[in-house]
Parts: sequence; C-alpha cells; structure tokens
Amino acid sequence: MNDFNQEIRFTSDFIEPPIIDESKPYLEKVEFTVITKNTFNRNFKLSITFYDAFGAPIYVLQPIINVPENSPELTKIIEIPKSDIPFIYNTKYFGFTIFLSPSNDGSVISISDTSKFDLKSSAKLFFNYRKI
Amino acid sequence: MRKCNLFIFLLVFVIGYTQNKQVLYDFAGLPQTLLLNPGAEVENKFHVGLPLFSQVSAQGGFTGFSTYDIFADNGIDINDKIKAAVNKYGTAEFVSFNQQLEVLSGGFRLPNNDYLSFGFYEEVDFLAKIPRDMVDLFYEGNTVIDKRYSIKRLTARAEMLGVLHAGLSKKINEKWNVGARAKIYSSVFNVNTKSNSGSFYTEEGTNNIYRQHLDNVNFLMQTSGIFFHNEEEIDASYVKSKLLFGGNLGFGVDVGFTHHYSKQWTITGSILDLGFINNSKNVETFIAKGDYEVEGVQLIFDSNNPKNYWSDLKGEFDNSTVLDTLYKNYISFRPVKLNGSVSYSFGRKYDDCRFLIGQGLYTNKMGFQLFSTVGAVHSYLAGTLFYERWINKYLQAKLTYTVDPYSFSNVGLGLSAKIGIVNLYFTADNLLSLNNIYNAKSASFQFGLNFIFKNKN
Repeated sequence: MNDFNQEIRFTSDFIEPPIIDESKPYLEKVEFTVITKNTFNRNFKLSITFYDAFGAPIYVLQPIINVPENSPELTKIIEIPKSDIPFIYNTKYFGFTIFLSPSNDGSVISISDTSKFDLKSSAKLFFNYRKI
Repeated sequence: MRKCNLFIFLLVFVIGYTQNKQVLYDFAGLPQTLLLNPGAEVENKFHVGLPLFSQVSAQGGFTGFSTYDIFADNGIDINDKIKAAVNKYGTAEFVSFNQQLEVLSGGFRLPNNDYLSFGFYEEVDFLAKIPRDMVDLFYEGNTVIDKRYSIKRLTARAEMLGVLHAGLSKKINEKWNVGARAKIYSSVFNVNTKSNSGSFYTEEGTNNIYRQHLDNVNFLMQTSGIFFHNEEEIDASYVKSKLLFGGNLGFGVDVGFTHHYSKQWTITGSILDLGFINNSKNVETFIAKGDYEVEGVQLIFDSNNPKNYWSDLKGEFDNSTVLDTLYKNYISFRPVKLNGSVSYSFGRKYDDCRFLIGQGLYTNKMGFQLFSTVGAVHSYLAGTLFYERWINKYLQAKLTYTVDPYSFSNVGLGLSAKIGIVNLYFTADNLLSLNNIYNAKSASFQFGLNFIFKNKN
C-alpha cells in the first residue's frame, strides 16, 4: 500500500553487504533459498537483482520466483552457477523487488485485508580451497 | 568446500616439536647434555663448540594425521582421504615446531673442580592446539543445524628468542652432582592465546530461515613484536638486534642433578626454563567477547524510509560484543620442561677392556627416561627406553624407543664420535619412518661439532 493506502504494483528494498574479494578464488557456488507463504488471493513475483557501484543492474537471479495466490509455505532454491560468480564481486548492492500481479476480477487490496505475504531467505556459500 | 587450505596449513608443520631431545639427553657426556640437565656430569677440562654448528636442532609434529594419510598414491580419492582424516581427528590435536641454533658454546673447569658452561642460542617455538570443532567448521561450514562449534580448546603460542646462558655443574660427593643455569631471554616476537571460551551455532529461525548465535565468546590473544606502529624495517639486522638483547627481556633458570644410587644405578633429573619474559615493546592484545544472535536482515520495503541494513546490523553487533585492542605490557612464561631418567650400567670395565676409552666404568647403559612439558597452552608427556654403548674407543651410540602423543613406535639413534679433541655428534628419531618420511607424525634431529679437551690423567 502507498501513503494513501492504495495498492501498489511493486515494491523494492536494497541491501549493501560487504563482499570480500579474498574469497573470490575459492567461491564455487552460491545457493539462494527463498521460502514464501501467501494468503492473498493474488499472485506475487519476487525478483532479486544485483546492482553495480553505478546503480546499474548487472545480474538478475533466474528464474524469477512466482508465488501463487493462497499458496502454503513454498521453498525455492536458486543456484548461481560458477560461470556467473564474477557478477557477485562486481555487485555493490542487492535489490529485492516484489511484483503484485493484477487480480482476475479487478479487485484491489484494501487496508482492512488481513492476508499475509511471508518471505524468508538465506544464502549458502560453497567454497573450495583446492588452490594453495 | 572448505578443505585443502587447513590441511596444507597443518601439514607444513610436520617437522618438529615437543623439545623432547630424548636421544641427546645424558648422552656420551656431550657438552650439550648440560643444556638438558645442568647437573649432568662432564669430564672435560674445557670445551668449545664450533660457532653456529655446536648444536643445530629441529623438532616437530602434528598429532592429527600424517602427510601420507592425505597424499598417499594408493588409488583412494583425496577427498575420501581428507574425510577419513577429519573423521578420526580427536577432540583437539596439536601441531608444533621447535628449532634451536647454538651460536656460541663453551665451558671450562674451575679450580674448585666445578664446571662452568655458557653460550648463546636462538630458538623458535610454535605450538597450537586445534579443536575438532574448528576443523569441522572449516570443513563442512555451519551446515549442521544446532551444532555448537566451540573455541574452548583453542590455544596457541609462538615465539622467537635469543638465550644467553651460564651454568655450573658441581660435584658434591661421589654420589651427587648438581647444577643450575641462569638464562637471559631476549624475545623477537611472542604470540599466545589461551583460556578461550564460547561457541558459534546456527538454529532454525522464527522470522527468517536461520538464526546465528555467538554464545558467551571470550577470546584473548597477546602479541609482542608482531604489529608495528613506527617505520621499523623487519629485516635480518632487526632480528639480530632483537635476539641480542634488543627485544623483550626475561629471565629463567634450569636446575638438575645426577645421583649415583649405587655403582651401577644412576638417577638424573632436571627442570628447564623456569622463567618469564616481560613483553613491553610493540605489544598488542586483542580481545573479543560477548553474545550475539541474528536472524539476518528483516527487509521492510519502505521506500520513503530506506534503511542501511548492513550498517544497522554491524552497529547491533558492535553494541553486543567487545572487540578491543589493548597496548598493555604482559608477562609470558616459557614452557617448563622436565626430564628424568633411571639407568643401569653394565659390561666390561675399562680396566679389563682392550679399549682405552676413558669414559666411565662400563661399556653399556640402559634405562628409562621421562620427558614432560608443562605449559598453559599444552602439557606433554613422553617415555623412552634406551640403550647406550661404546662401540669402540672413538664412538658411542644410543638407541631409543619412545612413546609419546605422536606415536608408539618412535625409534631414535644417536652417534657421538670423538677423535682427538674433535667431537661430532648426530641424533635423530622416528627412524622407522625413514622409508616413508611422509607417514611420520613427528621427526627431530640434532647435530653438532665440539672441541673437547680432557684432563690428561
């Protein structure tokens, strides 16, 4: 909802974690786990985008996560393959964007709606220290 | 995953520690035995060691596994071998290295028949006790939910120092010989960490997938001569100046005795390095303590009020924990070494022998030795059975069998040859591993050259 309690179609937030270059030669794989639960009768899409220091998007985690309406707890694991690891080290911050799909009947979410959209996430980093 | 680095780090130390010189101890009346027991008996008029070559010594080991366990060419995948090594890793294993270089060594008999010996040596000593929890964390990451990775058993020390020493060996009567040695230490650097506590663990979260905990962490590491705030250049002349009394100074003593319980039974004992170093130059102490738990970042998607999540997280962490650096002097204690032996001498007496080797009454000696180090970082105990024999009038040999935390099959050999005034000796242990040195968990050697002058009578 916006300041006028009107439905908005998307919202974003950003996080700027420090990325340590020393781990670069050893990082083998990154695994994002996203757990969602949606009691709205509307579909959501979740996109995770990597931005460089100039604010330009350089990588979008694929696939974009689709969260169906009224869905129970769903777990989605997305892997960043080794070939895409260099994007992480060029990343300044990560953007999380939630898109709200239009309803089939034209209804909108109201301020009194008690439905919830839960989002939990984690990232697993896999290192391989074969290099000496 | 997190595999090879730790192993390489551990494996590079597979040459030296414990300072157990079980072959050299009480061997052949060598001047160097006075460094292991200032109450040892020597029959010299005077001696002088060849500068820099009177004793070169290196010892070391790792109790966890050997190089061969990991790199053996036996058709087994290296990852399986690493996994097997991690599986058999104990609660805490230790890795160590000790090196000594005797720069100057000499001694002479005083008019009252006491023997005064003195010298200067350089020593590097490293010991770290690595808890299994740290190996597991490195190897598998924090992938095991609710498993506590504790630093409780993490201890380490490392130092480099120069030691100027002088000692007196005094014969009280036919049964007793006692001795003492005073030492001035000059430390180039010292690092130690001990009495650490606390753990790290991950559990299922409530608002997020995982919750991470730092639980009652209390870590302290003292350093001197490691971090510098001026433009001091670290080169050979710097190290030399610190070794030669320009470093952090300290004082220590050794005491020892030899007791002839009967004509053939002898008991010896010594306590070495009862001493301390006052660390006051280039001192830094690092402290980390506190509790902290975090469930990750809770995104609020409020574009009107953007948050710097990471900075907030760091602020929370800083408020919950203490990460501090102190610049306060501290005292470090040298690891105390204890030696003891019981021996029985037998065989032909010199007078009845065709060899005129002029050393003692018997050609054979056998017995038992005990060695122990007592220190805040680690204590260690080793037992040795030995047999010593004059091979001919020029050559003495000593064979040892040692049981210690590294191995139950450590066989050592020492040879000491004396032709005229020239004495050359060499000792080494873990000889059974010579056909495959990579399979040894520890190894040591000492060698040196002395010029020994004896009374003509």
